[in-house]
Amino acid sequence: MTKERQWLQAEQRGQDELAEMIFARLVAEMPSIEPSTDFVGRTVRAAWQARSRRLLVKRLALIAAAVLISIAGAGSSYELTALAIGLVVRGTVVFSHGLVWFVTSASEGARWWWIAERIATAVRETIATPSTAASFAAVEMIALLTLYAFQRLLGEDLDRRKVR
Amino acid sequence: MPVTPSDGELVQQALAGSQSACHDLVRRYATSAVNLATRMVRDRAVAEELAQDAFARAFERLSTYDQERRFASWFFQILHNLTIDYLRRKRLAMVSLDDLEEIGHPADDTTAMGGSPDVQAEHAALAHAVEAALGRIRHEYREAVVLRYREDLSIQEIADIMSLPAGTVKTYLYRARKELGSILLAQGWITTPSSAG
Repeated sequence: MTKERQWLQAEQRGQDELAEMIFARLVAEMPSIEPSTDFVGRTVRAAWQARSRRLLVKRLALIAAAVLISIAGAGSSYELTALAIGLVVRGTVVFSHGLVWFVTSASEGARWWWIAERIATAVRETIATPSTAASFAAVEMIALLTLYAFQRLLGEDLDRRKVR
Repeated sequence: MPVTPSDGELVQQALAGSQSACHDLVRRYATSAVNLATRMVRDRAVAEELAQDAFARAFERLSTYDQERRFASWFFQILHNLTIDYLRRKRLAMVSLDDLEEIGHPADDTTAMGGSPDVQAEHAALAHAVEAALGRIRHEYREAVVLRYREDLSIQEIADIMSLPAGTVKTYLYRARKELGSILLAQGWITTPSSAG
């Protein structure tokens, strides 16, 4: 009896383990489908060509990337140098202008301060003489006495009006 | 006596740029690849193309191959993905017995088997019928059967290749066997007990 028939009988009888065992042998013994004679050589050639192409593309990509980075770097450095020089020149101009302005402003400020100080000194020296001080004190005393006299006169007048 | 290098050693040599190592790897797995692909797509020329693509892709990604894993399992996964993509594109219909003969499937060598000419003839016819029936079941079942019983991969390896749970692979194998049996019984290769009695 062939294996195929044994398997089918085992399946029919519900002998699952036996059926699987015979079926496994049956499939294992199925005729092999052989690849064509040049399959191996053709496949290896194709795979190797693909690999070489990939390596070539990878190398070209690396070279292209290196060239691009170099160009970009050189361009950037040229642009950056020009920018840096421009910044330094502008900075120097602004700084020098600022310095001139500061010095002028400072000297102007100092001159006005000197004038104000001279006026204040002149005023102080004029006021601070003994005769001027005595005159001020006399005027103050006269003013105080006048105020006291006015208060007394006003007070007496009010008292007389109350008696009436 | 020269020692046959392991798959891992061949992979290492191929990674180092050895073309002969690539050649050895292809020669080692060419038949298995063509067998699996042919049984899945039922077209020998397409199967060879798919196998060739699978080898090319495998060599392209060789650096990602995990040495802990069997090369066969890793390679069949690549072939599986390519084949499934092809089947999805083509949505192959089930083929008949005649189609199987057209794909250049070699006839079973009946003379290699012992027994009477009648037994030899029956064996050849039944083997042919089994092969044809295999072409009529779902391609997932076919793939599981070929990987398990022809390539002798474990359930877990098949599960990894097909990206399925191991339980589903067992179910596929069981159903494949039952469906094949049903097809052959329906073709009258064996009488049922009731009809026999």
